[in-house]
Amino acid sequence: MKDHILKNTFHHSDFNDIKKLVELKEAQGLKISLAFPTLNEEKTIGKEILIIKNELVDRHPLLDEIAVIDSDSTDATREIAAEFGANVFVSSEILPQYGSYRGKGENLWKSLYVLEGDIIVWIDADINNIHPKFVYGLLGALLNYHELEYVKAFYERPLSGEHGIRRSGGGRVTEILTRPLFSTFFPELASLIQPLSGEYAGRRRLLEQLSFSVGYGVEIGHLLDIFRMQGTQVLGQVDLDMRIHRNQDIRSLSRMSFALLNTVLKRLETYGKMTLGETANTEHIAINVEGDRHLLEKTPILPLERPPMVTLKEYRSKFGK
Amino acid sequence: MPDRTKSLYSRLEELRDSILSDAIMFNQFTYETRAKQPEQEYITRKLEELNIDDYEVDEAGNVFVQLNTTRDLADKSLLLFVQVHHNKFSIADRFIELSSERAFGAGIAESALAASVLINLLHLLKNEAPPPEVNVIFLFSPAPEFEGRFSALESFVERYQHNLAAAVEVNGITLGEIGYRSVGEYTLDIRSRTPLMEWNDTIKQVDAVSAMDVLTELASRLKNIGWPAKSGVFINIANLTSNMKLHKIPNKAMMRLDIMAHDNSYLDFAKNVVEATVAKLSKELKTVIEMKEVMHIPSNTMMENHAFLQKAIEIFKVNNIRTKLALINDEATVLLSRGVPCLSTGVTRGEVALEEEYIEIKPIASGLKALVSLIAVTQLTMEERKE
Repeated sequence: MKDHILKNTFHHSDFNDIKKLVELKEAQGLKISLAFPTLNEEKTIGKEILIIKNELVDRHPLLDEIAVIDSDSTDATREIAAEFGANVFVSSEILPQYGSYRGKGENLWKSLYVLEGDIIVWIDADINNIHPKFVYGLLGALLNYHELEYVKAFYERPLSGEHGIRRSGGGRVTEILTRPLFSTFFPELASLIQPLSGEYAGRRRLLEQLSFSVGYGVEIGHLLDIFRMQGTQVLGQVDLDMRIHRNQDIRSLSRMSFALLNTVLKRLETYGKMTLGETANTEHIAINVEGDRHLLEKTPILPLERPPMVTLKEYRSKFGK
Repeated sequence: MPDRTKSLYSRLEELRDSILSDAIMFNQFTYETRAKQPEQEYITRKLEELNIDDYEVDEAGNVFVQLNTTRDLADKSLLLFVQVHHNKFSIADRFIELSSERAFGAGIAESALAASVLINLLHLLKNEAPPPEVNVIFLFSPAPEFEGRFSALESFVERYQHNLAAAVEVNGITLGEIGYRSVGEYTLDIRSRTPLMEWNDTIKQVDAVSAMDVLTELASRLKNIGWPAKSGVFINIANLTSNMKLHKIPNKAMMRLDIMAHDNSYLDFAKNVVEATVAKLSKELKTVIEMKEVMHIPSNTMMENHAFLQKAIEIFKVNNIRTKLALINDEATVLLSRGVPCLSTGVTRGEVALEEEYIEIKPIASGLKALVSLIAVTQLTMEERKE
């Protein structure tokens, strides 16, 4: 079996000549945008913007804009982001006629409307060891390989907590849920090392064709849809060595897994690979122990999806489509 | 004020973000490299990235760049230097948090900020702004803790002292404090060994003492010596440890002690007194007490009325930077003892405490102004000498 994804697997150091990347960008006549989806990220957003802007806007003009798409943070995220030079948008104020949901996927979808770039880079805002390689690594693959449309990051993910950092153990949802699902239904995608990584870049012409899960399912939904539309030859992945961030607790990961599972089930039905006998439940059920009692905690996680941006008349009008 | 200095001032505001960015990257760099001297590797890489390829690295690990801007080959240089400490933080502690007003995290207030300031100022002077009419050497000197702490700087100064008109040490968070004189200091390790004992032994032999008893008694005697008020002698007990185990009497103990004084004669006098006290106690308790000198920094006050200092105070005042004279860092004695006028100044304000280390962001522009002012001071002082 020819594995396109492994063939298109790179290391960030393959692209660390930033001057050359700027030349490629200019020669290809591209605009590049970077967006951070945020919700209460005051501890890390400032330095992420500062470092990326300093290295990839001021010292080397690789990026044309840096934006923050915020989900009504209650901390100082937006003030700090603006202080260090990002264009700050409140997600609910973008295309308000289409309503607003809280979720990372919602912010990414809306960012397509406000950003100007031909290539969009999305980076999570909770990275402790932020480095320009998180951006130029992804862009390097797209600028050097025209056949690639969508590039994901992978890295070692040490667990970070109150007692310091343990060198391995991250990517639990990937190994316990996503990879088994891919192995079962989409083996061509199983060679993605970190399919759920929050750092990826794509060309607008592809991104505008994708529907976006509002919440956690956005990454897996993209991969399944891209695979369905264009196959694996347009997918690449870049090794960024290590990403250090505060890991989520097991309850949050369980809810994330629930959202991912629903996104995959929906695709399986849509693609005619499987038929569910009845509608899947939309409440995540957890068990809390209080003394000797076991109590159920139900959290609604609706499988909401935004349509491809190119189907919106406002978007077509703005971008002349 | 020379026109070139005015022109430089106008560019300093722009440096804030790149200084902060480089300081944060410097601080977190060492977790991702296996280099023996990660700080040196970061500095040389960054200089190359900024197209500053004419840096030199000597055998002692000093990284330096000479910026020669005068036409007179006989002109001496101003040395701008930073001591780059090898920090030993865990990976988890290396990451800096940034608010609108402050940057928080271990390491940011010391080497990271000062090294970043030097890199960015060098870049500005070399590539973008018209440089001042004075030759400047930018030096990043490695500084391990205690033993060998000054060896790299000493080796550099040994080689270049005849070429140095003056020196400025760049610090992190002492903005407004002009360090100009050093305090004299001896650092001593004092070790005590006593016979191995169990609890029972102390009942049988009522005057038995442990190694820790010996050193606590010594500490008590040293702290109770009445030093002459004007001597400024201070005995600082920096550390006291033993081979403590549960229910065991420690038979080995170690105390690290600093003796400090403004004046070299008092410093040596105090050291003699400490030695005599150790010998007396050893005899009284019939036990072995060993003393080893770890570090000696002679005091130096040659800067008191120096034109470089006076000009610096004047220019700080003109720039509305509230100024006070302070003790200079220990490393400056390497220069002062060789007759090179040396000042130190910080770039911003902040704090280094056990629980929290931070720098303030806003004053960085003033700190840079102060630094450029000191370059101008050298220029003026040298021009006056020529006249």
